[in-house]
Amino acid sequence: MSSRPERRELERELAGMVGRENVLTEEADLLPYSADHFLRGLQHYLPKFKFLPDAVVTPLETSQVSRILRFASLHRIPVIPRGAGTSLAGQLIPVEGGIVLDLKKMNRIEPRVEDRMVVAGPGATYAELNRELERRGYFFPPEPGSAMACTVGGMVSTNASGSGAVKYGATRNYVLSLEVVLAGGEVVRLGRKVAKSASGYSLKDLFVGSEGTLGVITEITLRVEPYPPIRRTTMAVFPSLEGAFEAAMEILGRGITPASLELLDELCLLALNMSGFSLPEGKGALLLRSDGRYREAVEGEMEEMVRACRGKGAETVGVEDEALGRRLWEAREKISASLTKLLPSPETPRLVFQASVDVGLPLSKMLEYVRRVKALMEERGIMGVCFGHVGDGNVHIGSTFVPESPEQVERARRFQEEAIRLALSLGGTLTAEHGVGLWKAPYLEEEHGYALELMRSLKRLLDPQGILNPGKMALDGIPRVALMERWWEEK
Amino acid sequence: MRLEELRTKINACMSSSTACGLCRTQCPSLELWGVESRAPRGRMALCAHLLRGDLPPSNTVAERMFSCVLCGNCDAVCPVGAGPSRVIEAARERLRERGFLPPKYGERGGHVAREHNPYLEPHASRLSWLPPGLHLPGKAPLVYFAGCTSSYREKELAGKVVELLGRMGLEFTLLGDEWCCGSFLLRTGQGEADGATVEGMARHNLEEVGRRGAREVVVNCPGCYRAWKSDYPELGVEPEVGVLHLVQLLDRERGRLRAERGGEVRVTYHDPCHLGRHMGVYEEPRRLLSSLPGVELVEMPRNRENSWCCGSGGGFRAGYPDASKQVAKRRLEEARETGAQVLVTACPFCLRQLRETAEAFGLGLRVVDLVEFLLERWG
Ligand SMILES: Cc1cc2nc3c(=O)[nH]c(=O)nc-3n(C[C@H](O)[C@H](O)[C@H](O)COP(=O)(O)OP(=O)(O)OC[C@H]3O[C@@H](n4cnc5c(N)ncnc54)[C@H](O)[C@@H]3O)c2cc1C
Repeated sequence: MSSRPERRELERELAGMVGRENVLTEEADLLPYSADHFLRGLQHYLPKFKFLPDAVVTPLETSQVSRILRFASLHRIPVIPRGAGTSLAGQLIPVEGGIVLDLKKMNRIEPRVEDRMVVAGPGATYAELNRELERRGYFFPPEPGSAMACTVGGMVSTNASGSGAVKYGATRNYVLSLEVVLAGGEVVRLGRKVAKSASGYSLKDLFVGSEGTLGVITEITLRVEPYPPIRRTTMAVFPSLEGAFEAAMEILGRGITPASLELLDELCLLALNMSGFSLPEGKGALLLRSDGRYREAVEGEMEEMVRACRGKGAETVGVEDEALGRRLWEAREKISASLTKLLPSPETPRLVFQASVDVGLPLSKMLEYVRRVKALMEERGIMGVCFGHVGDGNVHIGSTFVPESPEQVERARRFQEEAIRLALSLGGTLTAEHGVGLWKAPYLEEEHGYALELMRSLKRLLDPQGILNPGKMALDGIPRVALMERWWEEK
Repeated sequence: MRLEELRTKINACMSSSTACGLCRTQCPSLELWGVESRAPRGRMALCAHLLRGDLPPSNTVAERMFSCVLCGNCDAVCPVGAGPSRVIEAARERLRERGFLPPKYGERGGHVAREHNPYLEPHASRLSWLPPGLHLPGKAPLVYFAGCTSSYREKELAGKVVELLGRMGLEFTLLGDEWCCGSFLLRTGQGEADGATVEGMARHNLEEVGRRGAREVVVNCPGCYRAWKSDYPELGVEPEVGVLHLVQLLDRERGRLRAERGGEVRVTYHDPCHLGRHMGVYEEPRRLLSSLPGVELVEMPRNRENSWCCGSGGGFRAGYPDASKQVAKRRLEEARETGAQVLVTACPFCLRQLRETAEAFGLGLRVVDLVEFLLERWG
């Protein structure tokens, strides 16, 4: 093993593996990879917190990835695999520098609908993949809010899912086989390109949600579903948040599995109305979707859901108007972004942050959770929205703050922590879809206990030098506790 | 763009729940190079660093800003309205002020100042496209502003615009002394070039319109349209006459069109970025095309606000000729997949780019401007 080469030498070595045009080392090219949204915002106040990688490489094929990893492990250089960079938990921050592998160019898509599957490069985007599939009457269902931009590699690595998970599940449910390059450069195939298999440990599942910490995924085979040609959307607005929950529970209790069952609170409704909708006023709402192959079945299901909502005092919109339904759906995806509109407009431009919470709970505990979190927000003077995929127990809280002082940052951080701990105490998980990354690493042990030690053992086995995406998921021994706090102190 | 406005836009991006990266959805330069520093979010990040002063301006930074086609797709998808393409334009301006304008653009900018066109052509030959024997009145209610691309590079098209307006029986004339509208300068960060300003050019052109006694100006170039309709007022020069793109005039005066000849044909329409996304004109050309007998209009999967750029905007064709053809090729392939025989557009710039690329790659698709298409079917 030799020491980390200096930049020029690194550049030369990498260029020898992938070609000069696929290696970036200039500051202007590295900076955009140096932070996620959260950190970039903080940099506004604390400019020295930049985590520049040493190089960004855009490989074209598996053999190049393999050579890079062999080289990186020899020199103990960190490697951070990267898709579209839409992850929300600090998964991509090169805390120890190293090589960012931007996989955008490995974006081959090979639909094999006769086998009900698709084979894709990790850099293929969800949107492109589904464009190809839909033309053939199929789709890959787990549609995250970032569907337009995120990559399949990123989705597998974070086990992404979206509002359709209640019916269609998360990315994990679709992964049949993966080609992975291990830390030392070995290329392995995990799982077979078949619909089911009972052969050995399901190692592919270890890599789903592994956030780039175990290997670089270079090819993905996914199961696909026939595209449901009939879709209906309805928004039901309730006089109370409880009413919305009760209606959701009744829908699920009747044995209906909607295509989506989304909860929105009063502030979300306000944000939607500020973005140009004229929805009825209310304290809570459900956004319902039904889909399928047969019109009668889809409409029948929707009618039953609408009846359940009206029974709880809801006013419904969109039943007759599918165009409005589609618009509502698009707006729902932009709720977090439109949150900033709820703040009083500032005299001077300023940065606004969101501390996001993305917990998963048993369905029966959701209402209690939301009530308690809202009380907490009130107590702490924090403004935030609460929305989520009620169908699968996933609650999102977006709380907004202006990080102009250490106190404000600390207040937001503490709230986030309390909201996560509350979910854990109710038997929930700290993240249902966004993942752990850097920002949620401090809480992983609380959720997993000794199982985290097992994860660490697996990490050591597969990545003995610890070069793959270091610092994430609390795998490097001591969790990287609240980096933010330390930064403020240093400031 | 004022500094405060620029800050607000950058902060809107960096403050949104996510600096989300949804702008990666359909970015030509990201598709070409595949890296963040050539994608809207990455460029926004660079702008944030530049503004804060912890990234020194350099030729590399300038190159990353200039390798954008300014198609505005990122503006259309941005959930917080941060408008990356406007920020990139503003960054170009500031980089130019600090001496980091790529020389190719500077040379053309200087030429605009002296000869009133960015094509390195003499001003004296601006009207060389005029069909011989054409007599136009000294005063008329409508003036046709041909713009630099039609005047110097698509002369035939300029001639056809005049022919069409004549056949429609519209009373019109040209400017006595037409100057570049300034679009090239604005898009390449040269609000000022060799002492000339876009504001000055706007005032000159408006004075010329005044001399013709016109109430309306019609342009067939979307770049000119955006300059006249949106940039001039932003610069404080309010044209006190109506400004129309030709498709709007044709749509309004549909009753005068006699485009009834010709067989069955399937066409698709390409939205020029500066007419569509930047100025919101989508339906007029579609209405016109679908009203023509025998014409079946089919849409490409990406149309209207999410249409894919032809690759020639924002100085990109001049700066990156090969890459720009790759962008055009994707659009042409998309057009071909619709089964259309003809690709119609309404921009001399798109026309030139798409037609040349179709020929270069032997894509077997006819590319025409709406004006040419209407004339072919006249009678
Ligand atoms: C507006 C918005 C809405 C969102 N909505 C949702 C939602 O509804 N549901 C949801 O689950 N998430 C959501 N997200 C989060 C995010 O989009 C998902 O986590 C997504 O799957 C990340 O994909 P990506 O391509 O951007 O991956 P990146 O962010 O680039 O990477 C994510 C992680 O995967 C690793 N990785 C990427 N590619 C590979 C590879 N080939 N091999 C090994 N490791 C790899 C990276 O190292 C990193 O740890 C949202 C994000 C945004 C911005």
